[in-house]
Amino acid sequence: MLLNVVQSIAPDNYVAFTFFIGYIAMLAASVFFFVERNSVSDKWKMSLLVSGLITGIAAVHYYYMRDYNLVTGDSPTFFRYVDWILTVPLMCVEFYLLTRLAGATKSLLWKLIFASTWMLVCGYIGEAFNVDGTTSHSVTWGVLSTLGYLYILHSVWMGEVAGLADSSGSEVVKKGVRYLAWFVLVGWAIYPVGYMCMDGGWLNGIFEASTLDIWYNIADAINKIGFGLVVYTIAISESKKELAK
Amino acid sequence: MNKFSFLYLTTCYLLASIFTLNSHIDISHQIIGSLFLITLFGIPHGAIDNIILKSEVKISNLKFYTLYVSCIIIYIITWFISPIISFYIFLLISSYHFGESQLANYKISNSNKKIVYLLWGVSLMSTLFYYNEVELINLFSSFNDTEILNSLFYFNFFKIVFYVSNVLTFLSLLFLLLKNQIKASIFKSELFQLFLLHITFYLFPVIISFTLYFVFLHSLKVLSQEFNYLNILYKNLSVSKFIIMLTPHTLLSLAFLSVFIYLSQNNIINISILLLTIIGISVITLPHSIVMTKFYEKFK
Repeated sequence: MLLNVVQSIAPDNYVAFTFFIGYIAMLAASVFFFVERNSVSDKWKMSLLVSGLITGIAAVHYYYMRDYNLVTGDSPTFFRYVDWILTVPLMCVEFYLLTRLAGATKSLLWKLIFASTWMLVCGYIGEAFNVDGTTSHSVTWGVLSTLGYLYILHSVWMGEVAGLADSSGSEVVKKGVRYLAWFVLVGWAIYPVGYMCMDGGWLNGIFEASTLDIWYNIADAINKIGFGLVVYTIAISESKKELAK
Repeated sequence: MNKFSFLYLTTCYLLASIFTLNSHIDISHQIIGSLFLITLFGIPHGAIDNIILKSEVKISNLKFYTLYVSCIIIYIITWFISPIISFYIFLLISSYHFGESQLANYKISNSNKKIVYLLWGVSLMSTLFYYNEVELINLFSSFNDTEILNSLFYFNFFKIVFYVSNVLTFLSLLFLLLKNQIKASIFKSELFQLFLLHITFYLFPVIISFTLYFVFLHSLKVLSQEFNYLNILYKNLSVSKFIIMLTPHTLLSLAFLSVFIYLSQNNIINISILLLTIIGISVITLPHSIVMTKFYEKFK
């Protein structure tokens, strides 16, 4: 059935276009990160493994999202949240791995995982379980979800993660964590903005429902692959430094 | 991103949820909310001009208050002589003052800093006017004595100012980066903040937009700078002592504000509440910005 659907994709179906690109790009990034584990020292292998898992999980989900969208024409909200609930906490794990050498504790790791999970669970309840269609339902859960986002944002910019990066003694780690913080601030902002664009949302009408999928696909690809590339750059630089010693 | 931008962003997200529930917040509620925040943070940030100036220049209380009040009186007189010129002067002074407080932390060379401060401030104010043109025209048109302020929007001159100032502000920040007067991280932060201001000025009504900027990105930042400065001067100044320092002039300003609102509302003085507010803010801004320029000369 999928082959028939694929044959009928219009050339200006940018949603399908970005789903296909997203799926393949994530898959390619996973292969890259897994292979490049051999190029870094032992203490950085876990970071690249996690980067590969993030893009690998996303690739599988994008494969399903692509099919779902092609067959139904609907936005694959369910699959998006399934994907995010796995990959976003893993991105938070990256912050822990990067600052582990500077003293990051397991407590920080669990706080970040909890905050990211909270953010996504609340967002999902707000978006997917609005049975009576009330605005207050989506606003309440949206606000709760944003609390998790703001906690992570605060931690990476001026809280525990930022402090650990500053005290790491490595300019590469410091800069790298700052780049990742920009991803959280700018790249992840698409998610609350997208939430506000749904029916009844304050920004509803700014984007068409179909273009929102395009933005999500592009943002996901940049956020996940870009995130992994920053981690990779840090891992390679630090590994070279260790080799030079 | 610093703590003030973080607070600004947090408030924006909170406001987004409020606007989702009620997209048309009554202007009276907007004014009440804004006045509350401005009273809490906006007025106090200028309430220790006397302490700030006296810490840098040998000046007696009498001389300080004479000069400060004279500034205010002279400016009030210019408002009566020419409201429109006084209004434009107010916009220019505010622009410079906002730009100065935004960028004074950075080691910009003396030859560049004044023009960069002014450019930044003009781009801020013109952006506010650009995205809220209709609302501002309606606001100024709601009273006879503020109708004349709509001249700001004649011939679309302000749109030219908007485009030119924003482009020049970007180019000036780029110039400072290339000349190593600001780091790349600062350049990115400043661009992000300008982007955030554009978004919020576009999305929110003008009163809320301006209050957001004025309270979170200006007043709170200046209060923090003043506190840090006085903390060094007075050695371990506590927050409560700092609040006590701010209180007398804050209360005095509120008292004057209340008196003038009463006089206007009861038609004892023939000036609309809106024009009174603009005049009141402008006449305070002039001496305040002079004091703060002196402060920033020593502030590093």
